[in-house]
Amino acid sequence: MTDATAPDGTRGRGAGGARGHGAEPEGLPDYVRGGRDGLGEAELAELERTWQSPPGFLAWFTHVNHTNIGRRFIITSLVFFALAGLLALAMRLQLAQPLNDVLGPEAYNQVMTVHGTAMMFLFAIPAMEGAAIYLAPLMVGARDMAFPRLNAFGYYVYLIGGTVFFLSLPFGLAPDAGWFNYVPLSSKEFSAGYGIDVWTTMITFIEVSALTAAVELIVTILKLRAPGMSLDRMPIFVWAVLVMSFMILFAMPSVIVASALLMMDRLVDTAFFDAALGGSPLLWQHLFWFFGHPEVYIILVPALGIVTSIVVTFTRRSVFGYAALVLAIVGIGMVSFGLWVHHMYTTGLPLMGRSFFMAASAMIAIPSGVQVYCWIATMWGARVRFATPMLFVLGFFAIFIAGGLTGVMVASVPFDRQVHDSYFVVAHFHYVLVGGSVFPLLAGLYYWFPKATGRMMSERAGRWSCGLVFVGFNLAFFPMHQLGLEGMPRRVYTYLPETGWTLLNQLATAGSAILALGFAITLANAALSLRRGAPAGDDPWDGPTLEWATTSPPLNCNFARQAVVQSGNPVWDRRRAEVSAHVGGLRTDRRETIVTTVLDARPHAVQVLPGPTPWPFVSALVASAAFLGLIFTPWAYVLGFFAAFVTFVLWFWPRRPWRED
Amino acid sequence: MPDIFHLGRDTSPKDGREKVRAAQEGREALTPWLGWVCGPAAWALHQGIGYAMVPWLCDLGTRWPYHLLTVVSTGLCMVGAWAALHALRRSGRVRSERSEGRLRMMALVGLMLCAAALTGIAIEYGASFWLSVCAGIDR
Ligand code: HEM
Ligand SMILES: [Cu+2]
Repeated sequence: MTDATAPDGTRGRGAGGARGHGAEPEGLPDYVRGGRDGLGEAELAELERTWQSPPGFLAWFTHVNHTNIGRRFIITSLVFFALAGLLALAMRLQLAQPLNDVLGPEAYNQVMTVHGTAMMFLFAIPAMEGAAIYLAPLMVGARDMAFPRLNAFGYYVYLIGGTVFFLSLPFGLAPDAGWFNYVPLSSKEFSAGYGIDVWTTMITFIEVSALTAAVELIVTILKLRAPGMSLDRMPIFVWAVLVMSFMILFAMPSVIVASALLMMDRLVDTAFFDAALGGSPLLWQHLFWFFGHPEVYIILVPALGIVTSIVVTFTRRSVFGYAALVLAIVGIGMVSFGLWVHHMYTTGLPLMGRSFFMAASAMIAIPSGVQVYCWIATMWGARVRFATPMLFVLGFFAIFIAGGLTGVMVASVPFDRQVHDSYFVVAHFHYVLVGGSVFPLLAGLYYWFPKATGRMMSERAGRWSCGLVFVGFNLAFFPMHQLGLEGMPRRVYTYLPETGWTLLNQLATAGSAILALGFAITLANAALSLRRGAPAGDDPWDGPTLEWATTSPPLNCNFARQAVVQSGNPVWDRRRAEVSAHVGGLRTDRRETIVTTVLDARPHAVQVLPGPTPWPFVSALVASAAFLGLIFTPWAYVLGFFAAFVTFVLWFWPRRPWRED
Repeated sequence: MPDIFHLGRDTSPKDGREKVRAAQEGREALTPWLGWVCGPAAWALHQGIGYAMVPWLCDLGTRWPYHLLTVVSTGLCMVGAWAALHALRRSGRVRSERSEGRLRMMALVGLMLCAAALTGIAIEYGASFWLSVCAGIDR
């Protein structure tokens, strides 16, 4: 073997060598090895032992592999989705009759706030992060993420933050100022209890978790791609994850600042948002929405990646207009940072100032349109396979486009001034959020479930679920447009019979019951298929990207040998080619993955990744205790700082890999 | 050296001619990114500062700082577009090189981003003419 694969010159127990059948592929660099099964059985066994996540309950807290962490993110976010969904049902039940008494006004405000906040921060973002953490390393052909321990840390912070947030509800400590938590309503003066502090604290948790995920995903995608996967061969999903991660990086600091300032206003009597003392309540709105608008695109962008993956696989065609799709995704990311003031049209800003944001808001339709055309062109004339994932994608098209249309409407100042804070807006944002995140996620669930578990989900149940969700969703949310135009305000716990809103509200409630049934079917389907589903094999859908090149579920080490990529559809290539190219020479007795250059993905180093460790968990516990302590006393900050520092020192205690060399 | 990340020897080509090529390629690889950075930055500049200066323009009673801002951000956009175009042309010339494809793509996306940014600046600039700088500001 050549030393190109072990750049430090170590060879030793390398698993390399040209052992495959078939000739060396011609014209390829010399780190490439041919053959399908170049790895001996004993070597594979050792590799698997090296990458194993140890079994047992206590060992669970030491896992760092991206497949473990990604799966946890997804499952946890689905649990929060179910809980927040139950809260939504409670609200719909309350609104089914005028002057109903399922929920009183205080309870309604809490339920509404927890539903909105949890759906945004605890379900949608983490679910996308989880999908990205699970899939992106597989798709780029890496053995793991760049910073596996940070990954674990991010998960525990999320888990603890989310659990505490939901527990606030039964204890009557839940926030009740809506998901954007406007001052002055959320100031000490008007919200005295602990509810708002729970909200700001939870936001801090999610920021930390999202930032860690973003940093790792960026580094993984830019530096750990399989050799040969230059940027123009990266799957669109991976592009989407990259853009999402950069968006998190740019958007989150703004809400970190906002919630920190509010915490200080409430805790140590600063007056950033107190107009009477020279502060500015509008500052909150600017800071929040500078994060809040990109936030909805942080959710949407990876969903676009999921949709593209599925469209490609189910049409069996390379995507039409690769560069245009990349442009659309990057463009959406860019434009989404220039729209935030459209949430503030009714706050009395100068008209010329507003005009900037009205112009920009209309502009987002351009990249979105490009994208839709690329999908249509990909499907045009193809023999599309209408399996469940594709059905959900079709549902996404219909619903998301409808939401986009009302989006262009509310982006215009005069229209928005009529419907602001009415049910029209509730209808609009559920069309984009459910259409833009829930449908793609369910599509992705049906699509990648076989990869993650080795079993197929039931196709029949999937079709029923998709149909019910589609019908239920439209029945639940379409009438809300009309309710809004008739003047029903959002965030009201009840209404009078004379308003004439009863029938439409009843339709909406009936629709949400059907919707819930649809979700329940998918949930049951997933649970049952885990044991009873038909065995999936490695590549049940005939997918083009690298996650389909390994076993289902993936090996501990992801790939027996890391692939060398020669086009944008490596798995389709492999089927045609006699031999497939692999990286040779990585060691099997420690966690190694190949590092490549940013643009061309030429190999230039090998990274040794860390193994299982409890420290990220301990760090997360300590950091969480500090954040929670901040609800009660500012001293928690000081204490927590030092305690967390100690755990970080232990976490980063040098591993001395050179000793074994 | 504590070789924690195990960064080892570079595996890129070694003989003299190839080295020069690699360095050149590295430089060339940066130009297409200019479009990615300049376009969005120019648009953000125009929107952010333009938005913030409105009350000040009203006090001042003139629009000229705004016109200046538009010129500057358009210029920035043009720089990015020019660099991207340059890279695009060159990528057409490098026939034998495998990285041609990705260079082309980077340059193309950079160019289009600049075009999008320019559109953004243009419609923001255009829209603002329908309104007096003091509209909606009560004194
Ligand atoms: C799936 C079924 C869902 C139903 C039946 C539902 C229902 C509702 C209802 C009844 C409200 C309260 C409206 C009001 O009183 O003004 C609401 C608010 C909200 N929902 Fe949903 N929702 C669902 C899913 C989602 C999802 C998936 C998301 C986000 C990803 C979401 C995000 C929100 C937000 C942000 C609010 C606003 C809360 C606020 O006003 O502060 N919802 N939803
Ligand atoms: Cu928005």
